[in-house]
This record gives sequence, C-alpha cells and structure tokens, in this order.
Amino acid sequence: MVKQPTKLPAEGFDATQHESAAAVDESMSPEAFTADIDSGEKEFFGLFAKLAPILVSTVLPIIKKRVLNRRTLRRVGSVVGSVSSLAGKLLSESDELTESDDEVEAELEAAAEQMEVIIGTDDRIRIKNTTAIPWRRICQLTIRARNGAQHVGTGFMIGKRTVITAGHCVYIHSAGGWPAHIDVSPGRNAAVYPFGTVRAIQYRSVAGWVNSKSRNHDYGAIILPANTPGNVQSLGGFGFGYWPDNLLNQRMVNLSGYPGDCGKSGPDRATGSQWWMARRIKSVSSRFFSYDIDTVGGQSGSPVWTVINGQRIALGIHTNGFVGGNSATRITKPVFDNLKSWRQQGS
Amino acid sequence: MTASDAVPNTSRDGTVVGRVLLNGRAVPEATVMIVEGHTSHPDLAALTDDHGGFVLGGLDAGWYNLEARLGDRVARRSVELAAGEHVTVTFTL
Repeated sequence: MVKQPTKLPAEGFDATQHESAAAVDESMSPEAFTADIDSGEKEFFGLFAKLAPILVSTVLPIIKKRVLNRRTLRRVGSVVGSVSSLAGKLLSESDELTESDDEVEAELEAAAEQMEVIIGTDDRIRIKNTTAIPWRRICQLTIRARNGAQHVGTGFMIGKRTVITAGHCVYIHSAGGWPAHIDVSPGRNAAVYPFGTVRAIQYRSVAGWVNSKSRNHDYGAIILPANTPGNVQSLGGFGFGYWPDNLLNQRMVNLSGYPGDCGKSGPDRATGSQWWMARRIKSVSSRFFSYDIDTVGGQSGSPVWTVINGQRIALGIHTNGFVGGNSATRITKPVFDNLKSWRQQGS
Repeated sequence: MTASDAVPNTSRDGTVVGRVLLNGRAVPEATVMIVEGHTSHPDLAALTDDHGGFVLGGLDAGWYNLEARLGDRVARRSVELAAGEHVTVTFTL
C-alpha cells in the first residue's frame, strides 16, 4: 500500500473561501493559455481530418460557406458568443488574409478550429480513431476500491504521468477512501487498448473533497508510476485554464469519455468505447458549471474543454449527472494551481 | 455568491447495492450505472465482482433510473432513496 499524502492541499471549503473564489481575477490569465499547454502541437487540423469522414456532410457546407463568405466568417465571432477577445483575435487574423489558395486554407483552419462549436448541436458521436489528438489523452479508468468494489470512470492527461479526474474516482468515501489501484487505459477503443493499460497507486485530491465530501471540491489526480511506458508519457496533455464567468457563460464546450451504457443505441455501441458531444454551458456558479451534454455513469472525470488557437483547454472536470443539467467542477484559480502542482509531480 | 452557488447540505450517504444475474447465475464484469437521476449524483459506474455484486455509493436522497449492462444484454430498474438509505436491487439480464 502506498501511503497517500497526509497533508492535502489547503483548499477546504468554507463560506469565506467561496466568496473569494467568486472574486477570482476577472482578467484572462496569460498563464492559463500559455503556461499550461503540455504539447505545442496544433491539434485542430488533425481533429478535422479524423472527424471529417463522419461529419463532412453536415459540417463542410457550413465551413465552405464561411470560408467563401468573409462576412459570414466575421459572424463566427458572434456565433461563438460573448467571447469578445477570441472573436477579435479570430477576426484580426482573418482580416490579414487574401483570397489565394493558401490563405483560403488558413481560413479553413480558422473555421475548423471552431468546428467543435459548429457541430455542437449534434448528438453523441463515437470516437473511433482514439489514437488521434485529443482522444488519446482521454483514459478509461477501472478502479479497484479499498473494499474490493470495482468502478469505472474517465480521466484525462495533462502531463507525462498526470491524469486528472473527479475526486470521487480517487477517493471513494463509501468504499474505503483511496483505491487499492486504478488501471488507466489511454484512448481505449472497445477491445483495442492502443497504449496499453498502466496500473496506478498514487493519487491526489484536496481536503475539501477528502475531508468534507464537498461537491465544490470534487476533483483529483492520478500520478502514473515512474516506469510508465514511454508511449504513454509522450501522449501529450490537455491545457487547462481558469476563466471568468462572462467567458464561461454560453461557451460551447466538448466532453468525451467512457459511458457505462457504451454509448447511444446503434451499430457503434461497444463496451469500452469513447463518446464525444458538445453543448453550450448553461449555468455557471463559483465552483461548477452545468450543460446539457448527455452523460451517464462512467464519465466522471471526463475533460470539459474548449478550443483556443488550436489548443484544447480544459475548463472543467465532469463529475455529476442530473436531469436538470450535468455538471463539472470548474477550474478556478485554486484548482488551476493544484493541477499545475500535480502535473509537476508527474513530470 | 449567487443562488446557484448554494449547494444543498445533503448526506451523500445513500447506497444502492445488489447483484446482476443471468439465468440465475452471477454475472461478473457487468456495468451498473445511473442513467437518470432527479438528484445530482456522481457519474461513476460500478463493475460487478465475481459474485455479480456491485455497490453504488455516495448518493443523495432521490429517485434514480439504473441500468445494468453486459454487451447487448440490459436490465433497468428505478429506485427511490431516502437520506442515508441502503437499497438492494437485483438485475436479471
């Protein structure tokens, strides 16, 4: 048995902290966008290529229209919503373009970057090429609790050996606390485990979850062992950021994970398959936000992310289901700081 | 602090325990999960053990739709939990 840290990050919930959390710096932290990207790869065009066969019939006409109609492209900013700074950046980049093929391609990239926004009204989609970015960074978790019970959840990599997930995946109050072990399978695709499975026995969470079981602090991390194979350590990681309320409200976000119901009915349904969906955030509070993305048991710990300049930035960690709106633990400044620390511990 | 910030001070001590059976025999490695809950709940699924047993804990009082699944075999049940209540459910696939 590996002894977990006895001194948990001092992030326990109390009313005072709740107030201060609500007063998190309203400005966008440059650090949130630049310091916490583990991979410098431009992900979105790869994503476009992978999803195109599935989505081309619905998405391409929209993208084409936007590419060929600069005025429409300008409206992407308003489609994106209230994210004025992003819209401004997008527009300033496209304003520099002329109509040569290369520049049309660049404009297509800009539109593709927003693809996850455009197709957000679709239902869940099975991710079949889970070796592509970002899907390979999403892991199915098989959790062996201290009392012998088994559970399944989801996590996502933010560094070489750091997997972020829900607090209730790494500390299960009703099942003995810290699990005996968690098997982490990055990019599992039904019967195929493209990067194998790594057994982890080191976990992290915060006092607000471990001691107080507060839904407001339901997040944690798995630190993969030092002998984790190189192909797992080189998968790259999601970026993460803490955003003010006005940028979160109505923001289109993505969620992908491993639902216990194996996805929606149809030929794509399979045990251990990864499913993605996107919707707008519908409400924001100081410690979590909610959305109408369909989830079921097994998806706790899934990343809830957006795309900025081709980088995927996790804004929350999916934790709860509810008919009135599923929800994620919001990445606030204290959460952000802990994620950075845990990433360092797994570097 | 807004109204939506207020988190009910609930116990989260409710538990659903049970077994998954097929033709009267225990089914290991079946997945049991909440597919719909009228109370916010952890989206964690359970895997049955060698005896077909499972535990879903950390639940608030409320009404839940549960599903047990092994491949294409599915069974569904609804339960209503009181605060801190332990309910036993048997699924037959």
